[in-house]
Amino acid sequence: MNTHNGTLSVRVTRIEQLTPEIKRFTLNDPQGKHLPAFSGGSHVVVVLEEGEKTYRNAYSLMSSPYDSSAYQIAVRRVDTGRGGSRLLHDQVREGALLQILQPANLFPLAKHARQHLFIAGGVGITPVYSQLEELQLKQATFELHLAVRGPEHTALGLELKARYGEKVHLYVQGQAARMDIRGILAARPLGSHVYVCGPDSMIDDTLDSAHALGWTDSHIHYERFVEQGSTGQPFSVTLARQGVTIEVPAEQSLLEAAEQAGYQVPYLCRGGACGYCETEVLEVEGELDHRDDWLSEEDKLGKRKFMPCVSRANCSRLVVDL
Amino acid sequence: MTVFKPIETYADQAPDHTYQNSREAILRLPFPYPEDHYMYSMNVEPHVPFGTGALRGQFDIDEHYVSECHHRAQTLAAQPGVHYAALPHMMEAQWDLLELLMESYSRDYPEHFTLEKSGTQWHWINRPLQIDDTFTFGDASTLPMEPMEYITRQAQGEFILLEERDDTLVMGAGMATQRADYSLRFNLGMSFMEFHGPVPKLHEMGILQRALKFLLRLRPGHPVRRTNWSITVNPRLETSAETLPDWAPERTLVTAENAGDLVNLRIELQPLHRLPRSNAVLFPVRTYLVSLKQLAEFAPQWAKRMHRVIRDLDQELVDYKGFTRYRDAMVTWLSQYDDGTPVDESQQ
Amino acid sequence: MLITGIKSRPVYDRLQPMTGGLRHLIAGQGSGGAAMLRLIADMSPSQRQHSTLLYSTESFSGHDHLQALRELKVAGLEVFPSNQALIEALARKLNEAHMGTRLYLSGSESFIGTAMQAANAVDLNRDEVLREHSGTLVRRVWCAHCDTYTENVTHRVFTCPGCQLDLVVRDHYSRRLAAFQGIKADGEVPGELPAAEELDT
Repeated sequence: MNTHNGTLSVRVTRIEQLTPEIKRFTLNDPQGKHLPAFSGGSHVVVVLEEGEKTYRNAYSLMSSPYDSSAYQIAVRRVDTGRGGSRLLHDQVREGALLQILQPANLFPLAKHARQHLFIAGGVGITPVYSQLEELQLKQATFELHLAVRGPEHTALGLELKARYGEKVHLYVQGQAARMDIRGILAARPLGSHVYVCGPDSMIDDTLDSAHALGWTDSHIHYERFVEQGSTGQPFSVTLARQGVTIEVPAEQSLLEAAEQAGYQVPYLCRGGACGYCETEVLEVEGELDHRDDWLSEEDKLGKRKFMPCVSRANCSRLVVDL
Repeated sequence: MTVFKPIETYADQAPDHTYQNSREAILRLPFPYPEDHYMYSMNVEPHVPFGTGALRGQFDIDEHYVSECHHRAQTLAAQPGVHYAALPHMMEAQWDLLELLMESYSRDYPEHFTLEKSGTQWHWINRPLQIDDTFTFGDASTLPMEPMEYITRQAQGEFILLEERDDTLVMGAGMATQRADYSLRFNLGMSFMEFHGPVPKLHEMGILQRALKFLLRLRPGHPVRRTNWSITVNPRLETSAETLPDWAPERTLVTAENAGDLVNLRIELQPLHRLPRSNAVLFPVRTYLVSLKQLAEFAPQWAKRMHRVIRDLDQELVDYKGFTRYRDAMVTWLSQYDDGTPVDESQQ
Repeated sequence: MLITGIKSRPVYDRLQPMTGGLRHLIAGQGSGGAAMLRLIADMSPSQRQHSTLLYSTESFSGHDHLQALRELKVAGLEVFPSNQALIEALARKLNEAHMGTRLYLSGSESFIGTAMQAANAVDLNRDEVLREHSGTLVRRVWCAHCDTYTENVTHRVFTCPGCQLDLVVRDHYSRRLAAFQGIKADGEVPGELPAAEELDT
């Protein structure tokens, strides 16, 4: 396994067009060795360079956690995004080398659950792939409910149906009844867990239905498609440990601007969810624009903590402990 | 290349124990006091190879390797069910641990260990213990015992597996033949906050909350390490709550005259890993015992520092670490190595 | 000299209606009946209609709230002669219960601890259970040396019926074993015992 500056070098050995928007990439070690093992729900960060720009996009691993001879990721092309997925779709060919970070898991299974229920929409199915492999091997009880926007988007759902049969429920828009989330969650035994991955409306629906049925938060797990990075008004920030002030442009996050200026900032999800890059605010004159799901309301109001991966500032002076 | 000593005995195995350190073994210790004063802190750093001593390998072995494995086998046989335990759902983490130890040992000490993989058929050679086994990775029936017990019987230090659950870490399995005054059976199933309950100051200092948050963010391939320490009378590895009647009386024997011979600094090197398949956290405790006398003889600068640390240590920590009865005797004995000048580790 | 001042006692709650729940299982023993009565009084009529009470008349202190509990307007009341019988019934009910059920426990530490073992078996989490300790301060103690459990321990130092050693009870609690830890009290110097004061919270 090649590691360079903490990244792994992998070769793209296969690219499949699965739906009009989604391509699946198979990645192998260039020397044919095994890649690091991982657990169901893990993701890798793909580091892409385009001219001066560096993209770091996180994609869920959809291959089996029990076969580390290759990784697979599915990438949905987002034309309105900042470019990482476009680059993967348009520029990367079979045989190309990619730099990735070792897998990490921000969406792990609840190992004690008596029943696992998955609710997914569209490309939100990707983290579920590896979780189902894990559950199938452990002979755990699970169900998957997957909604897609039309018959041309069913490739992944049909693949899973072939593998797991009746445990997979596919809802194709315009073809069958809509997914009834409340009905799915009703009358489940104690110790059930629900995992939802899809658009915000689906997550909100699941949260509302589960709460209405008396579920507590410790049984509800969700992963939003985090739009990594952030865009907004430009601002300046002083990195106290480096003794420099840098400009954060409109289309970059503080984390990205710092990296581009050559400073290493620890990070993991790059989406305001994991807490890895949490930093202390040493001085601030003005308002902080917190956009993360990590800090508590108290922390956000306190103006003492800040998540460089997504949050921004609207202020005349900002000094952080980086 | 590490040269292993012939099998030695520890104080919990024989009254006339033979355990001793060579000069080299002492100079490679992960000495736990960076300053003349000691207090708990978030002393965590990335576990990357450093120098030629105890921090060179992922899991350190030293001249006591064979002796310690022998001690483990004997201790497990003497009290079945007391020193090794695993909750049923930890099997995946057990395989993770086996893989990590086998890969680390064979990479860091290829002269002693070899691992050959052919798909899921693995061939493991442990030359110092004369083991040559072939098994199927993931199939426990192809090993003579559970994977964690199998591999940790061939490893130095103790190993605790923590499972992530409900935003905390829960003790799910352990091989602990050298634990410092706790009970594995009792602590099994406890959360991070619960099993740290006995440790003073941590709650008040907010360290536990921060440490837990940090550990929950630990990711595969990026281990971290910290050191801890305690004090033990005689080179006794096994000091569990269960056997307290055997070892606690020795605390009354220490005097200012014999402290150098009787009192041992017990250093714990703890390299923590997130395990890739199970998402469990591995909490190993690699224990090093060194008598004050040997420390002073081969590493006088460390003895000088230890005098200051012990002399000024917070009373709550002294009580917790269990040397209230003989702290003064230790300080008196160590004071002969402290001339008041600054500690200079390059001078030993 | 031996560690005794450990701060890992279980932390208990005060029973109050968990508003998110749709069904409420309320189990108590002896003097724990008082907390059950107070909980029901704090509930809305609808919550009461969805509450099932399990009560064991086994009591160390002789408290019995059965009469008052019988007068409550709830979905049901089941009475048991022993804590063990109650906990077996509770385990069966939990096994059949649906998500949305909340569990309330009140009684001695030992009762709560063993009832929690049943709750853990169905993966009830911290946000689905409330536990109120009431009445007697007796403890269940596990001997680290001979593996014997002793119920209803009232003093800091007691003699283990299994190995006859004098044990000191550490304030260190294992949920899995539902017991406090007892270790040899005069471990360092035979006969040098710590004060055998009454245990308190």
